[in-house]
Amino acid sequence: MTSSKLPNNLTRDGADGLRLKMSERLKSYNYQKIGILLASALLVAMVTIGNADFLSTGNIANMLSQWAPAGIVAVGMTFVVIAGGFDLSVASTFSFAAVVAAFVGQTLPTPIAMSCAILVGGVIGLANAFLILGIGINPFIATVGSAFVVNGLSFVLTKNAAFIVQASDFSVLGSGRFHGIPYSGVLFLGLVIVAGIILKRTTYGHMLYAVGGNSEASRLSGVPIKRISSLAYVGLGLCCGLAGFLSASQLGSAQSSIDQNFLFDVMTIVIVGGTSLGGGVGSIFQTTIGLVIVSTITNGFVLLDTSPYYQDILKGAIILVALTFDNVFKRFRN
Amino acid sequence: MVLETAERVIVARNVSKAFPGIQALAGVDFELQAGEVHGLVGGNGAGKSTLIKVISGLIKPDTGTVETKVGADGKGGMATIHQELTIVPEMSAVSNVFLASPSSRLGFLNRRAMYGQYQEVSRRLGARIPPESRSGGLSVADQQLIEIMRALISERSAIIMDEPTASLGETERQNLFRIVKELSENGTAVIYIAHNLDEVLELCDRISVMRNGRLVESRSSSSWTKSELVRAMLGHQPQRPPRNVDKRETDTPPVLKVRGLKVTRHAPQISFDLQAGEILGIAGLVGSGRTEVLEAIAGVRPASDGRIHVGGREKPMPKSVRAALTEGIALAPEDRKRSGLVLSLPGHENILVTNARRVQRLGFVLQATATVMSAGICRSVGMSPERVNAATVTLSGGNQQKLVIGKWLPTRPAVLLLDEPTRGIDVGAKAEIFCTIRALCEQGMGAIVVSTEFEELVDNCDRVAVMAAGEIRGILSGAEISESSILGLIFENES
Repeated sequence: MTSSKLPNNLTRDGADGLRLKMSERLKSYNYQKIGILLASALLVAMVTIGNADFLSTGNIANMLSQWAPAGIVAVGMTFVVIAGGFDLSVASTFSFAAVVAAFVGQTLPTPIAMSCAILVGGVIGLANAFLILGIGINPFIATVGSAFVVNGLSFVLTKNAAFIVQASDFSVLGSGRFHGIPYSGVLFLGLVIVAGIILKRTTYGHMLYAVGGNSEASRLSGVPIKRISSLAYVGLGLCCGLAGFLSASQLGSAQSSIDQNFLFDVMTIVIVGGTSLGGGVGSIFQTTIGLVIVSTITNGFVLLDTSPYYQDILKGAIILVALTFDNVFKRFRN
Repeated sequence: MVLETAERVIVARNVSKAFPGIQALAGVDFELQAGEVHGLVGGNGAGKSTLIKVISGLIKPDTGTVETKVGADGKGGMATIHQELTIVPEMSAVSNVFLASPSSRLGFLNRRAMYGQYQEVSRRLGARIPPESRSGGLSVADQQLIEIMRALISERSAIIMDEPTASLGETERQNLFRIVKELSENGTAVIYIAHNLDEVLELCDRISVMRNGRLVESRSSSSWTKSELVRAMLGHQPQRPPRNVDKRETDTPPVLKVRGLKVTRHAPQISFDLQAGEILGIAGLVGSGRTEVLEAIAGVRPASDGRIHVGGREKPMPKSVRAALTEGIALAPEDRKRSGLVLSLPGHENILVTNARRVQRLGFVLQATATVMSAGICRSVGMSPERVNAATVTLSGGNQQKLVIGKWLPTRPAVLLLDEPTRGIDVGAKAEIFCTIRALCEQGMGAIVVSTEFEELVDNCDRVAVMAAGEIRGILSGAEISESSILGLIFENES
């Protein structure tokens, strides 16, 4: 083959040979990402126009610490969804981990309480992975089941009373601030960076996309698909554990309750960001944008003194719009 | 047993494997030596795929042993190019090439190394796939190349290639052959599975023939001839479908006239006729526009411009599959597993997918009528009626293809379009497929067949339209049809 005649969608690149022409690269670019980014900017602008305090340092710091638990779980959920899985037990695991943290924190030092909460989350994640990948139960069914079990355990442990922690250092990570910057927010942002690097720069991330994008192809190519997916569930469990501890630390107490809004918020953050429920598509960056959108709607509505009922309508509508875009783009591309 | 001197990479002894209802392998002995290109041929269901899966450790044999020499790197010494494409559509070409074994340092991806290796292996193959292009948007041929690149990069001591050239153009095919020879000179053993026997004879050092789960014969290539291979595969002489020579000059009006078809706005215009009872072949290399023409006529990808005449009336090109169907135009698509059948459903349910309206009353499916219809279809396409109740995924490629054709028959198509109807189907079943198409055409239907294998067009078509660069270069008929005349038309305008 001589190099004189190139297919008309290609161009030559000095360093490493062939590249797609700019026009072709634009065609294959993920416009959904840009759309989501614009939508979030628009929302933030609208709320700020309504109430200039929205973008004040104080409010941003408050929002960061308020949304850190949900954000942390959403990061874990992104991994699971990219792998083509799902987890409906996150709210129960989160709440159980909070209870465990408070229970242990009443008598033992805070680091041990924190470790226990994270460990409990990891164990639940491992159990989910075993049910879904070891036995082969559909992820939705498996995690609804484990959600009930975990929630029950939580009530057994608390006997429906609240655990209140007296130790002063227990609340540091949740409520502490350094020059106004909440530790919990820093923890969340740190996790975002680490998770983003794992997804985009490591072999594990590479294989996670492969498994979610086409698990049979990955299996036939020698990707250890069960190990890769299992690790995502365990990671999500650990995230739930950490988020549970943060929540207990913020409140100084914990009691069993499943806050279904928590599950709904996490789902909305991930889906609105554009991580596809079909697997193989998505990123931590997109989930972060999803978090900006969901938190802006929730807090913005409070700032603008609007009825919370409208909030639910708007959140639901935004999920549907996001999924509609997901499908429209898929059709456009094929 | 054969050559004790060369190092043996794989030794399989007395391997048997049964699946429910089928003895897939029965006491197979198989050896692969270092540096050898070992052809494996046999009909669909002969046990090639099962043997490959056993050898590469994907399934465990019921009896027998498989010993594989592990490569120096400690990895299992084998890479497989699967017949079913194993591409992750949302990932880039380079990510797909390094799917299971990305270059890395301490768990971090080493992109520079991957791009470098990618470019190198691209050059060797003559492939021109930009590394960052989304794999799902690539043509089947490019996806196949990615698959080949993946195996080459793995640098194993044995590579199994299952129909690697099924969708490749001539240049890539020659490059692949060259690379296979290079690999074998460097001591890599290759198991080469293909239905194109000329290819196998040209490339392989040794050829083993499988039939009904047994390895019936294994000899060095020089002592095989093509007809001996066919006989060994079938266990008998092949049947040849009769050609409808000189039947075309009749005065019956064409069943389909295509006028001024433009696939896209800037594509050249295409016009041709299809007579009743005729099999018209469309020959062309990958990217010549063959599939696009079929898809435009079938309404799959609506054309930019053009008109068709069907049943004596002039109409614009169909805008949807339903519109094409009401004109009596049906398409059996190229990828039968992805687009032709619902693999999870049994055959008769697949028939219902296109024909539920024909066998229902008040929205309920009339089972008895449906059964009669399925039986009728089986008769028409020459498929045994028990097979129609089996899960489609368990059927051989030939039977799946018959089902893809058969499910359209109750709609009484005037024109049947077939895109690569014999891709990945063995010699015996190929002949049967064309006999089926011929029998349907005898009843007045017209068929258009697109195929990469010019030989089968030469053998089976009444006329052959030759396409290159999106236009029809010429239409051959009767005695003019030959592989050399097809190639002549394709390359006449090339430098």
